[in-house]
Amino acid sequence: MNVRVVNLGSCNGCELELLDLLHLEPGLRLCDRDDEAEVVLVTGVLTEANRARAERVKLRPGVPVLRIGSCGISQGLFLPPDGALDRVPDLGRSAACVVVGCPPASSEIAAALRSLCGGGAE
Amino acid sequence: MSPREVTLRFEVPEVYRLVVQADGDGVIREARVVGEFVSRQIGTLVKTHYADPHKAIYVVERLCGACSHAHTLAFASAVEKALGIEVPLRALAIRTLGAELERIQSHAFSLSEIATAAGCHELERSLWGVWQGVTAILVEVSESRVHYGLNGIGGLTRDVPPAALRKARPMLATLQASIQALRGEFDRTLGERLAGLGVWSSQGEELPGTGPNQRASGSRRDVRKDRPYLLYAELPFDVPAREEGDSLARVSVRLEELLQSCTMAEEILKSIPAGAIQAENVDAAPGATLTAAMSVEAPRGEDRHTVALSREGEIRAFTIRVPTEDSIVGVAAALVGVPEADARLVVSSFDLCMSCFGGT
Repeated sequence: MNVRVVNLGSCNGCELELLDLLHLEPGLRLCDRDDEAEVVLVTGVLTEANRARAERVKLRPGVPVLRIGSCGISQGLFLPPDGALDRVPDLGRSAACVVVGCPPASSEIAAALRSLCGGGAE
Repeated sequence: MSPREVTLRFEVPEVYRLVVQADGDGVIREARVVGEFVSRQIGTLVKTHYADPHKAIYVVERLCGACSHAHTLAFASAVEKALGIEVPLRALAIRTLGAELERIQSHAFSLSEIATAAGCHELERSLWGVWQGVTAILVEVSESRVHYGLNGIGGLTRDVPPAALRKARPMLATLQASIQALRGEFDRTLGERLAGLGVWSSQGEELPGTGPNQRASGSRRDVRKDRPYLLYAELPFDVPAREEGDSLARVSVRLEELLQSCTMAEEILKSIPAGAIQAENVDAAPGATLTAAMSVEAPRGEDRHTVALSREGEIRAFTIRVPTEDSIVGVAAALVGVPEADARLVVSSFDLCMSCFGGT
């Protein structure tokens, strides 16, 4: 299964767990093309520099989006108390699933992928 | 030829790009790493929203997933120095343990990226096994895999139970044995290919900064030796160095450092002193300077945090200087003359951290 990781401005903590995930689930492959993605994982806070890039991400219809970690879900600690929740981009669709943690463990991401893709992660 | 971008695996386009200009034979003539995309302006965020150092440390930890312990250590130590706080010995020992386990975790990740870039998947899996092995030890020590959350202002956020420390020792011995075996495997698989590739030459001058990349190019500088902190003045260890400055030297230095860190972690685990883990008073001491800087040797080199506090202990100024600021200069120089097809391999041998670099 082709996995597209959209890193909007991560500390790389989630990416380390995603690397571990690739070892746990050998059927997963990283891809950097939107049109090949079968599932999209979003990590990191949306930085100013990445706003335009996030808008350019064009996924095929029906491709599920998982938001990974506190930043990917809600900007985590980077959400200042003056309310910037609307800065989280929806990439054209709502997230099908969120995996909570800072970062979530690879096994938790694997479980989320399995429940979302019906065992397709194997 | 016009400049073009080379895709770097994990560094998806949102994080950083490598722009190279190659001649007709595909040899790089000019290279530039572009990567300010993940700038989260943490220095500013701390001043505007997390001026209390006890809160700021959580956001400081998220500067980087690969060396967050180094960042919280530099930050907490700078604040402690500014306020005149004495950290108990047990906390210093456990902080040192965390720092060396983090170095093992970071180098294992970095070396596995080199193996991936070279297409050596078996070697990559063995190296990732080291990452998983040290991560299991870190779970015993800190109950966390990434972002250990150990450092607090004045000491540790929590103690490490004696049973966990006892359990960690045999795990570390197993890890050390597997790293020993990997040294030979790395040499056999990639030695020839990495030798002479991507030389960062000091040209007789002192290279800027510290870290494995500089030490692979003849530098002997290491903050742990030059300006000792934590337990480094008492801990016996060597600073591995090479003269060649090529990708193989950078790999060799990291492999040697893995073993040094294992030995240091073993030494610490043998005799962690009993006692408190947190200073009794974390307010400003009489006569405190309120301004201080602290450098630590993070896995990638010198990480320096500078803080200025008010008498009430609020952060007024905060700057961070990360090791990738120096290495990014080296990678651009080392890529000149390298075949374009090997660009990713050379970049991975420099172990840049764009999260740290862009994160401040």
